[in-house]
Amino acid sequence: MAADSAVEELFRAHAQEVGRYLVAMVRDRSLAEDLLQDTFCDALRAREQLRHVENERAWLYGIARHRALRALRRGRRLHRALVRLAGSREVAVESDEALVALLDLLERELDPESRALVLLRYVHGFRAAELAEMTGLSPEAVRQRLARGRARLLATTSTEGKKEE
Amino acid sequence: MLREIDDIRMSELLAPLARLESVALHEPGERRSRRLRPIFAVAVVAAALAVTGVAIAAGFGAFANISAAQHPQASADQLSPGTAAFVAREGCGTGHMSADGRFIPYTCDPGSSRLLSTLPNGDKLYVLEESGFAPLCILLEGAGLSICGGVDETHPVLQTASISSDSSILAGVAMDGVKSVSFKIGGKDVTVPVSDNAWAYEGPGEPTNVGGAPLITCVTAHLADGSSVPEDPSEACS
Repeated sequence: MAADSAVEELFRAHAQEVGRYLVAMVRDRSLAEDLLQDTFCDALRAREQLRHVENERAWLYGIARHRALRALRRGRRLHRALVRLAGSREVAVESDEALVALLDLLERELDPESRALVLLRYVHGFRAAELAEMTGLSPEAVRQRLARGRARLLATTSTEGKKEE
Repeated sequence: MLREIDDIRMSELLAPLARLESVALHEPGERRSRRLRPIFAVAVVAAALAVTGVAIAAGFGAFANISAAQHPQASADQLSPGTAAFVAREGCGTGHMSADGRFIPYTCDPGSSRLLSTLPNGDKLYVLEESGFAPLCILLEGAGLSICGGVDETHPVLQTASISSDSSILAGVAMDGVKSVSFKIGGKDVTVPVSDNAWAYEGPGEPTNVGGAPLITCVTAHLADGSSVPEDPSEACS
């Protein structure tokens, strides 16, 4: 039960930010809730690992990232059908226009794996070495993917900014 | 230097995401995901059989679709006191957080155990009734592993695994009609037969998945009629 308590403590400390990460990834509040629950259950199942984990926060985010990517792979076809039927975004989670525009930009310009990396790096503050451990990629591969994603986003926002001027 | 400037621009660009409202854990009754669907399916099957007059042995509801477990508990099915205490203490290693932040564990009934199989290494595979959140617990005695879930037509197998750098053990139950189970582990394709609703794999150690990436993928049930049911249809398994 000590391991259970450790997972509970870890979750209590980070559930809020992990939940925010999941919402940004899948843009569907009810799905994000389920994924947060799945993340908690996965962490409990793997609780014995926690004794050997140096970076517990990264471990938890690694589980959440895996859950989100898996859900996105599963839901892509359904999502496309929903968008076709509704003719608009069914899954937007915010009324804040700037936030919706930013989430649209991330979804349009980055594939889910790159989006996961960019969010973990620039919103949640993980270093390339931590992301490498989370993803199984080499630190250099993580840096390259981040560089590509960064260049793409900054180029797009720069172009959009000039158009507005 | 340029990269540092770009990093700052990225942080500024993404700063509004801090305003994104998070989500919270919810009670299991509110859950909408696929995990509760097998429970519903099992309940429907049990109710239908009851209406048609089929005798329901003790534990039948939990053991629907698992013929090898549908018999009165025999002495061979009973857990040792140590294992029963483990089951009572550990449940199935999962649960949910209540609204007031307490952890509610899912529990398994040690008195409901049915022995399905004994692995070559001596570990025993049991099925047990769960406390009400999932119909079934599977217990791999020896490895000290338990997990909750259900089996039905869309999710015909349920397994637990112990993976370390020394050895890999994967064992589970399969619903009636499943002849074999295949999966990938450490890049290798493995197929194991199902006997009396049980299946198991013992192999060499594999790297552990600290990052949450799956070690075991493409779990697929192969049925007697020649059809196959993947655990996750979205996985690329060719």
